[in-house]
Order: sequence, then C-alpha cells, then structure tokens
Amino acid sequence: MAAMVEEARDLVSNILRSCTNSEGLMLEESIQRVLKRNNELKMEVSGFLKKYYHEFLPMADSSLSLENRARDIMTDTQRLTSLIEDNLNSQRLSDSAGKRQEGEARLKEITVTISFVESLLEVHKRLIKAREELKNSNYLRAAELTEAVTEIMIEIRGLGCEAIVYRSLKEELDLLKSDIKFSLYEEWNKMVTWTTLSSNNQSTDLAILSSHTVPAESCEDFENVVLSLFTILEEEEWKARVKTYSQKLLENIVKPLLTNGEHRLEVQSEREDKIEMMIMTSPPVSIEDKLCSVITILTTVTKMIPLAHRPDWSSKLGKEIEPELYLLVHSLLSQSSPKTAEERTSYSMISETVLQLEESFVELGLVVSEYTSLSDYTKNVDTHIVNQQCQDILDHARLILTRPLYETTAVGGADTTELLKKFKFRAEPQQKELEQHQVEADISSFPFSFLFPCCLISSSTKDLIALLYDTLSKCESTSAATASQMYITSRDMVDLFIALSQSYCLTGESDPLVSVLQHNNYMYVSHHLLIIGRHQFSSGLPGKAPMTFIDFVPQLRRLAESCFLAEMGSQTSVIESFLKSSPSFNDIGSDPDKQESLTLAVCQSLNHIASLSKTFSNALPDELHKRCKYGLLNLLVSELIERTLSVEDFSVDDSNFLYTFLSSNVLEKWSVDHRGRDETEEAVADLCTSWEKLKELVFVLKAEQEDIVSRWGKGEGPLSKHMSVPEVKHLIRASFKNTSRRAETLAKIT
Amino acid sequence: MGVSPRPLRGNLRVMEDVSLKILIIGDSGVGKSSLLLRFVNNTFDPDQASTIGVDFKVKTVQLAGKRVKLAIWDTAGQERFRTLTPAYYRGAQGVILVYDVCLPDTFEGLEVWLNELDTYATKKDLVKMLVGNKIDKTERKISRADGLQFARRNSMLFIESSAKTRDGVQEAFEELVQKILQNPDLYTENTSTVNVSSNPSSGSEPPSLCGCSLV
Repeated sequence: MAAMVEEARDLVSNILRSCTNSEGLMLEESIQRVLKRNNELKMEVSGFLKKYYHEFLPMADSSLSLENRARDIMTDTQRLTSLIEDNLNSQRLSDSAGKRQEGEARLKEITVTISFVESLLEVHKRLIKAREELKNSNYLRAAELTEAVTEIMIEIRGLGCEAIVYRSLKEELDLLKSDIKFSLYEEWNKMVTWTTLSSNNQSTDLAILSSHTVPAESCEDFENVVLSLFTILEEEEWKARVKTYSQKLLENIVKPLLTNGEHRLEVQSEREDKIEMMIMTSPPVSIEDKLCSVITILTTVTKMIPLAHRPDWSSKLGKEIEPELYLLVHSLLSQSSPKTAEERTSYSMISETVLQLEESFVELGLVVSEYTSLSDYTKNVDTHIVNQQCQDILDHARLILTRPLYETTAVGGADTTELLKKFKFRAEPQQKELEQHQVEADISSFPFSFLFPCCLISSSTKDLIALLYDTLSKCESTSAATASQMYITSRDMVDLFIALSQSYCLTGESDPLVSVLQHNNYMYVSHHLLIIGRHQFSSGLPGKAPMTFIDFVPQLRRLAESCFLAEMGSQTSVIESFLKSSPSFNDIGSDPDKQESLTLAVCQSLNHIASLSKTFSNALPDELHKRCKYGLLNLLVSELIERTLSVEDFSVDDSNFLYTFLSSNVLEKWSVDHRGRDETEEAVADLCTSWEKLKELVFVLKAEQEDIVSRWGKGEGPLSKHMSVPEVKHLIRASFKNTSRRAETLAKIT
Repeated sequence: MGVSPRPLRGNLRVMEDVSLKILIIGDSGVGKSSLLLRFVNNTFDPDQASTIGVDFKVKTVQLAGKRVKLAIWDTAGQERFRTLTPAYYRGAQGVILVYDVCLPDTFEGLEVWLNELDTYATKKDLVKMLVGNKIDKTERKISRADGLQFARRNSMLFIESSAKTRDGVQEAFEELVQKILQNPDLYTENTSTVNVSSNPSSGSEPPSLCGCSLV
C-alpha cells in the first residue's frame, strides 16, 4: 500500500515538475485519472483481502477444534495409562494366588505319590513273600498273598502315577499268578488223572474207563490244591476247566450209554481214591436201567469233589452237563414213546425213573430248581405221542403228494357211496339202527346221491383222501384233545394238497392232461370234504368242535374251475390260431390257394379237436368230455358260418366249393372220423349248437329258390328254426341275381 | 439273413451261421430221446424215461462251410401228448420219423405221423428222414427193404440206426442237415449273425454218407 502511495507521489511530483504551467488542467485530469485508478486499485486490494480473510476464518476455526480434540485425547490417554497401571497391579496379585494353589496341588500330588509308592513297596514286598511261599509249595498262602496284592493293585490303579513301576509290578503279579497256576496245574495233574482206555486193551467190545485217582496219603494236599485253585482261578478259567471235564464225561460215558441200546454201565471198583466205570456191550438194556446208570454216574462223579466246595462245583458241573444230558434223555424218551395202550401202561415205569433222575439232580446239587423239562415230557407223553402221530401222518401225506401227477387211477361210481357206509354210527343202539336204515334207504332211493362221476384222478390224491379218512377214524377212540389235534392235522393235509397243487400248476406248461387231472383232483377232494365231517361219525368223535372241512370246498371248486377254464381258453386259442391263417371266403371258388389254406386250417382244427378228445375221453367225466369236444367244434363251425354269411356275392364256383367243402370236409368228416359211437346225430346237435345251422347253410348254398321257400315253411320249417330272416335273405341275395323271382322269394321269407 | 463272406487276415474266415429246427417224431418207446442223447451228448441210457410233453436240445455242427445251430425238439410219442406236439411242428425245416425195427406197430404208426406232419407243418418242402432204430436187437421184424420202400413212397431219406451202438446216429442227423442246406429257401430266413471261425477245414469236411440213401 505504502509503495503504491509512494508511487503516486512520485508520479505527481514528476508531473508537477514537467508540467509547470499551462498544462495544469491536463495535469489535474491526469491526477483525477490517477486517483480514480488509485481508488480502483484500493477496491481491488480490499476485495482481495476480504476474499483472503473469508477463506482464512474456517481454517482458523478448524484449527481451534483440532486443538480441543488433541487436548481431550491427551486427557483420555492419561486416564487409560492410570487404568492399565491399576490392572497390572491386580494381575500380579492373582498370579501369586494361582502359584500358591499350584503349590498346594503339587503338595497333594506328592503326598499321593508317596502313598502310591508306599503301596507299590507293599506290593513288592508281598510279591516277594508270595514267591517264597510258592517256592515252599505253600500254595494257599501264596494265593492269598496274590489275591491281596491284586486288591491293592486294583485300589491304586486309578491314581495314574509312577506308571512304569506300576506296570512292572503288574507284570510281576501276572507272572506270579501264572507261576502259581502252572504249579497248581502240575500238582493237579500229579493228583488227578483221567484216562480213557481204548477198546483194544479190553476184552469187551467197547470199554471206557473213567478214573479219578487221588493218592490216599495226599488227600490233604489235594484239598489244598483244589482250595488254592478256587482262590486263584478266575471264574472263566474255572468254567473252562469244568466244561472240559463235563464234555469228557458226556462224550465218553453218558452219550455211548444212552445212544446205544446194547451198552450198559458197570462200576468195576469203587474205592475212596479211585472209581472205575466201564461201558460194556450186552443184550438190549431197558430205558429204566439206562436212566439209573446215569444217576450212578452223576453220584460217582460228585463224590470226587472236596466236600467244602461240593455245592459250588456241583452247580457248575450241572450247568455244563444239563443241556446236553437233557437232550440225550429227551431223545431216549421220545424214541421210546408208547404207540399202543400196553406200551402206554409200561411207560409209567419210565416216568418214575425220570422223576428219580430229577430228584437225584437236585440232591447232588447239579440243579437248583426241582422243575425240569424231563418230568414235563413224561407227564405230557400223551401229547407227544399225538404230536408224533400227527407228524407221521403229515410226513406220509408229503410222501404221497410227491408222487407224479401222471400216475392215475379211475374213480367214481359206487366207490363214493361205499365210503359213506364205511363209518359206523355210535348213537344209542335203537337210534343207531334207525339212522343206519335211514341212510341206506336214502342211498338206495337216490342212487346218484353222493356219486362222483367216473374219471381219472392222480392216485396220490386218492391215497391222500384215504389217509384223511383213516386219520379221522382214529379219532373215534381218542380223547377230545387228541381228536382235535388229529382234525387239525387232517386240515393241514388239505392245505398241503392245495399248496402243492397250485405250485404244480404254476411251474408246468399248458398240458391238457395235467389240467384235467388237476381239475379232477380238486373236484374229488372237494367232493369228499363236502361229505366228511362229524355227522358221519355221529357221536363217535370226541369233543364238541364241528370237525368239518366244508370251508375248503368253495376254494377247491374255484381252483378246479379256474384250472379247467384256463385250459379250455388255451385250447380255444389254438383253434383260433388255426382259423386265423385261413382266408376270407370271397371268390374262394376260383382261388385254389384260398381253398388249400381253408382246407388245411379246418383239417388242423378237426385233427386237434379229435386229439384232445382222445386225451380227455378217459380222463374227464363223459358228460364234461363231450361238452368240451363239442364246445370246440362249435367254435369252428360258428366261425365257418360267420365267414360264409359275410360273403356279399356268391358265384356258382363259390357256392359249389363251399357246399362241397362244408358238407364233405366238415359235416361228413366229423360224422365219419370223429363222432363217438355212442353219439347220435341228435346228441351232436344238442352239444354243438351251430351244427344244425351249418347243415341248413349247406342246404341253402345248393338249393333252388323254391326249395328254400319250401324249407322255410312260412317260418315253421327247419330252416327257420336255425337261421334268422336277415341271414336267409342275405344268402338269397348273395346267391341269386336280382330278379322279380328273387323278390318274390325274399317276400316269402318273413 | 445270410451275409457274404469277407476276407480276413491270416487263416480266419467268416462263416455263415445257420439255425435249423429239427423235429423228432414217432411212436412211444422207439428211441427218439435216445437218438437225441446219443447225437448231442454221445451217451446212452438203457432206462431212458418216457418224455413228458416235449424236450429240447441244441447242438452246433459245421457242415458245408457253415456253422449250423441245430435246435432239436424231441416230442413225446404217447397218445396223451398228441395235442401238445402240433405247436412244435411250426417252422421246422427237418423231421426225423423214428420207428422200432422190432415193433411192427411203430412202423404202421408212421402213416399217422406223416398225416400229422402234413397237417401241421408250415414248410411244405421240409426234409423228412425215416430212421429205423434199434438195429442192435436180434429180433428184428421190419426189414431194411420195407423201410426203404416206405421212405421211397413218401419221398424221405432213410437210414437204420442204433442209439445203443451209435450206428447211423451221426449220419442220420448230418445227412438231414446236408439235405436242408441244399435248399436255401428252407433256411435263409433263419440265418443270422456273422461269426469268425479259425478252423474252417473242420467244418468243410464232407459228411459221411454210409448207410444213408436218398430215395
């Protein structure tokens, strides 16, 4: 600013100096301009300064706020520093407390370790002592020390310190135990022997010697050893030892005795220290004697056990031998189950012996409970007998049903009614006589009642039914429970028959004879199951159960029906397949290929029906056989009629060929070659519903219009009986030209 | 369908596969199953059980440069199975009619079997072979001349055989197959895949013609 003012002054002085006089105005103007310029500069400078300060003020404000914040941070920092210092002080305090606790725990650990080490020391000492006792053959003391050491070891096992020492001592203990066991086994072996002599050394066929040799002078030692063993041996080892002993006893003595009828037991000598039992070959031995021998064996064996440990040892031995011994005795009892009343009486002796055997089991301490399954078996011997009988019956039924289906037998006619008379009525004598007469009168009045038609069935089925009757007839002389069981078995036989027959149907291919036999078998069984029941036996069957098989009948009939219908469906398909290959009848008179094809198809069909008829002729009941045969023929004839009627226009050749073909190759051929001797023309017409229709069709194919009208007979003639108005009119239209004469003829067909 | 042979390296050669259906028919007990067993398994069972329904065996032979897969259907001769057998006649290219040279009834029954064959066989030009079986037996009732005459009358091949001693069995089948192969119309629709044989010479040997005559 000052510089600018100075500059202005210099300028004025210069102007004043240069323009001294006249140019005062100009100078003034110049001064004015300079002043103006000066003012402008001032304004410019002032604006600049304002702008500068306008930017400077916010910066100054922010600087101030920053300064304040810096002060706050300083304050916070100081506070934080003081806090950290406080925390550091408290941590040091807690560290000290922790160290103290650690020290205490360590102290405890050391205390425990000291006690542990003391225990280990004790273990060590006892182990050394036990070893010394073992060396001196003082097994019981050694076993007791070992047991005590084991207890200590178990106590200190969880402490988990001085593991190496502990393990070493544990190993030492195990070693000591093994040594004691070994020494005891050695002693045991010295004192106890079990010898099985081979038959070569004996004069008898089979001789087995069982001996427990205990030297008399060392009885105390033996007891010492046994007691030691009871102390030292673990449960499992003891069990194994008893198990081995039991197996030897069963295999060498009990089993040969019970399974072979010619073996008997002989106690050769009996002393305190030695017992010899021999199995000798002899004449058949009774079951009672065998069971008594078992008692002797068990008594002899248990005598060898030291008295102090007898109950424990006996129960262990009992547990080992009981299952197999019971099985052997069961097997013996089941083999000797009585089958007759006399045998049943003598079986009471066996029952008593079984009871004695059970009692001896309890007395010898082999079993605790008095309850055993053996006496149950003898008490329920009647049930077992029935069970066995039922099992035998079912086995027999199975055997029968495994025979081939093709093994056939003829049934039907009188044999069915004979079965009815087979059973006797057991009502009051007077009533019985009346009923018997009534039944005989009924049968003679209606000879076809209960008559099964003559046909072939599998011989196995006939035998099965005979077995069924036989089983039920046995029920008459038994108790209600037995009869009920026999009845259930009889039903099982029927179930078995159904199951096996169905499986046979499933596996076999379609075979007409098999299907027919199956059908007949089902019907035969259902026929007998329909008539058999309590009513046949009157009051002969014990119990009040209905004892009927009638519930099987619908199922069996359904099976028979489905089996037979399936076969007929199959045969129908065969005929249809032959006809399918034949052509339509249009222009057949002039087409040799069509003629040949039709001839072959009809020939195949007739041949097949004839073959089937031969197969069915003996197997099926006669009536059913005819219905099958003519049913299939009807299928063929209907198809031929349908195809003929479908022709729109017959040429003379067509009519001639069809007339000749149908009359010769169908009507005559059937009558000559395939019709049965006993089948009349009327019977054929009855069975084959389209037969007469075919005849009328053949007639129309060759007839003149007058003849057709005449045969129609105003709706009363034979033609009208078998053919409808539209069919006859269609044939007339197809055969004759459209003339007024044809119209007249058609008008007459109403 | 048949495929023409293509050249291959070495001695390998493409062989045409032909499948043929052969039927064995005849009365019960003439030895149909025994003939089949002898041909397929080279075994003989004197107590061979009656065939139930139909039995079936397959054997592949190499003849005339072709590998021929024979499907041989052994039918039951018993009357009761007569309804089952027609289904098996369909598509057969060759038929072996068997009779027992010791049983005249089985020879007379041939007419019935021929009638069955004419009725049910779909291939009218199928090859028929008449086999007089059981020539090992001493009580022969049908002479070779009678058999030959019957075969000639019905345009059949003829051979006598014994399944027990193997005489004529192999020849009967091979001659029948040879004859079928001479008529490609019979089997062309049955030829199928192409296979490679490394030993063509074994299949191209001419079959034995001993005892077999075309009449």
